[in-house]
This record gives sequence, C-alpha cells and structure tokens, in this order.
Amino acid sequence: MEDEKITELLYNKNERGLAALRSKYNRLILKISRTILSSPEDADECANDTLLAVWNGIPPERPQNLKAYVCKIARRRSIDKLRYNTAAARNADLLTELDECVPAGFSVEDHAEKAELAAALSDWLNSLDETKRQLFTLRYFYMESVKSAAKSCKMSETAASTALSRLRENLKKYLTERGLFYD
Amino acid sequence: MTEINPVLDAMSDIDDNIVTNTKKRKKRPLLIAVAVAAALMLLMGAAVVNEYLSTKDISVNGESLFELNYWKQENVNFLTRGEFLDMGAAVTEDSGRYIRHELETLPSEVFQIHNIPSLINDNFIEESSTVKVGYFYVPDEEVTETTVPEMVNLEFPLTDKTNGAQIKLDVMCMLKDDVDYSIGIISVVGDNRVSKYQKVDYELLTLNDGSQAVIYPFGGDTVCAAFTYKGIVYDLWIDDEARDIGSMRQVLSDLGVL
Repeated sequence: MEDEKITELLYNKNERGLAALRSKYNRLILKISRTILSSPEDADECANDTLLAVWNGIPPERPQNLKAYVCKIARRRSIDKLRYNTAAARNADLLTELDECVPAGFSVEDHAEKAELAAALSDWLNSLDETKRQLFTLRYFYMESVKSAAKSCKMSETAASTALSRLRENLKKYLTERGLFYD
Repeated sequence: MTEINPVLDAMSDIDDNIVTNTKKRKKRPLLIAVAVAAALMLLMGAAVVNEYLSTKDISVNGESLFELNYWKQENVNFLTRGEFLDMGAAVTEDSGRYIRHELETLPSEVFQIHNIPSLINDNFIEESSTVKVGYFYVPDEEVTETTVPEMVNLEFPLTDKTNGAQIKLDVMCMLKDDVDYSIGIISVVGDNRVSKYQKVDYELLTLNDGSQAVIYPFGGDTVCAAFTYKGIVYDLWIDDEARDIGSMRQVLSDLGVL
C-alpha cells in the first residue's frame, strides 16, 4: 500500500492503516531498533512503542514522508532506551565518537536549540557528496557498525573509519563556524 | 540518566530526504556509476576524479592516472595500549578493529617511536600538537596486545616555512601484505545538488622516487594531495581558501619528494 494511503487511513483513525503500517514497516522498525539495542526484548518493545507512537501521532501530524517519520520515531525510542541504560547499546563505541564534535556534557537546552542543531546537521550533510553523506547517515542515524556501513558504501572498513574521522573533524569545524559549538 | 551526545540525539531530526535517500547499494554499483559518469563526462566535458574505485587506482575520466604504489613496511614498531597510556596518550576511538590514540607531542617523535621514515625537515615548523595514531586491524581477527596491525596511520599538523601554509598530514603505513585500503579522492566540486559532475582542476606530478601524486581542490576552501612515496601513503590537505594547487606543489617540493 502506498504511504499516502496509509497516512490517510491513519489520519482517519482507520485500523486498516495500522495493519498496513505494521505490514510495510515493522521489519524496518525492528531493524533500526535491533541495530541500536543489544537486547532483542528491548528492541521488540521499542518497535511496538514506535507503532503505537505513529498511531497516536497521526493525527494531529500528517507526515509528508511516512517512511522518514517512522524511522525517526523508531530511532528516538531506541535512543531514549539508551539514556537509561547505555549498556544496552549494540555499538557502545558509537555513543562517544561524536564527542569529538560536541562533548556529551555540552548542553543543548531547549527545543529551539535542538532544532537549530538538527537544521545545521541537515545543511552540512546536504553539502557532502553522496558517499560521505550516506556513510555518515548509516553510522550516526541508522547507527550501523562501521563494517556494515562500509559495506553499504562499497568501501573497505579502514577507509570508512578514516572517512568518518575526517567527517567528524569537518563537522566540528562547521558547527564552530556556525556558532553552535565553542571550542 | 545518561547524557546522550547532542549531535547523536539531533540526528533524529535531520531532513527526511537524507533519511530516506540513504540506502544500501546494490551489487556492483560503482561500475554502473562510473559508466554513467563516463557517459555524462563525454556529454558535458567534465572531469571526475573517481572515488574509491579500487584499493590503489586513482582515475580521472574513467582512465587510470596512477596506482598508489604502497607496500609492506618492515621493522615498524607498534605500541601496546599500556605503552600508549604510559606516554600520556588518550584512547579516543576503540571499535576493536580500529583503535585511535591521541597524544600531545612533536610529530617527528611519533615517527621515531614507530620507526617510520619521516618527511619532516627544516622547511617546516613542527610544534608539539595533537598527533593521532590509528591502528587498523584485519576484520574478524581477534585483537590482542601482540596482534600486529594491518595499517598504522599518523595524523598531525605542520606549517610550511616557505609559504606559511598550515598543512594536515595523514600518513599511512601498511604492515601486512594485500591491505585493502582505499584513499578518498573527492569526485565533485561545488554544490552536489546543482551539478554532480563539475570539472576538477587537478595536477599530476611525478615524484623523485618514480611514483606520482595528484593535487586537487576540494570545495571552495581546501586543497589536497595524495601520493605514495617509497611505499608509504600520504594524504595532505590545507584548509585555507587562499591556498591553491601552487601552494600544495610548494609543500611537496619542501617535503623533498619532487
């Protein structure tokens, strides 16, 4: 079923929409959660929470891009799980890699600041060539291992590690120039 | 409650198109992309430096310029984690197969400790700075304190006395045969969304050991160089919009490789 149709059904609180959502996206949601969380039980719980959150969120929301909407909720739910238990992370090293760009203790206080940081990240990602954008997004949005991200980008693992390191440095420079981070 | 890095957190709110346009590539896409690129180049007269085409090949317009002629380095020392920590190094990345340390010291000292030949000479100002030392291990290999890395890479800054250029260098030494390493050569200049294939004004040079180097601009404010010299891979860049290919050529001359 096309996403527009699913969104329409969800918006009208038609349970066929929920069934179609589950049928089309449950696997992707589970993949995201299981990539982030080491416990299958936690991942399954996040997946169920995601479906419920989508059902509860539409309406009032009416996402133009249902797939992205679903992916983002799945990611947020999984990350929220990590706030309470970083030992639950599948790729624990990933949690500290971006400290090079912005230290974890650096505070992004309110919603406006968070939105500004997200906008800056989008601008920066869109300025990259396709391979680098894909590599960074696979690693830090989908939270895949370096090995898996490298394979998707048809790179060796060592090349991917180096590229990610350079990208983090470049991002730090970008965020500093944009006034979002002070070294 | 544990603090999650704000960038990692904010990634949840990036543009939808970035999220959904990121997908796993199908098999052999690079060859397809190269064919398409080659066809477009014939139409548009653009030059593209192919990125990650192979482990060694640097190509333009679908034709190979040269191979990165790296070879296994002998008698390179590598440090154990304990030895790094004794030196005051910090572990900044540890994924098991890739471990990075950072230490504040003169870059030449790190070369000396590892017994890696250095191109640093009196033409450069070398200051105590953050030197990144990365050890890459073979995937799926069990890594212990005595496991020999596949590759050692040193990343550090220098200043060229001749032209004042602030250079960042990434030196990569292969310690095993058949290391699968691809150097990243940027394939586009300018706004990707406007025109994917824009001309790159690169320069090809022959070094005094017989190998070759390519110098090319990246974006509007960086100039880069990539080459092997006596079997070691060098990746250099200058983040300064006032610098150009000529600036980097001077750097290579001052390194003593021309």
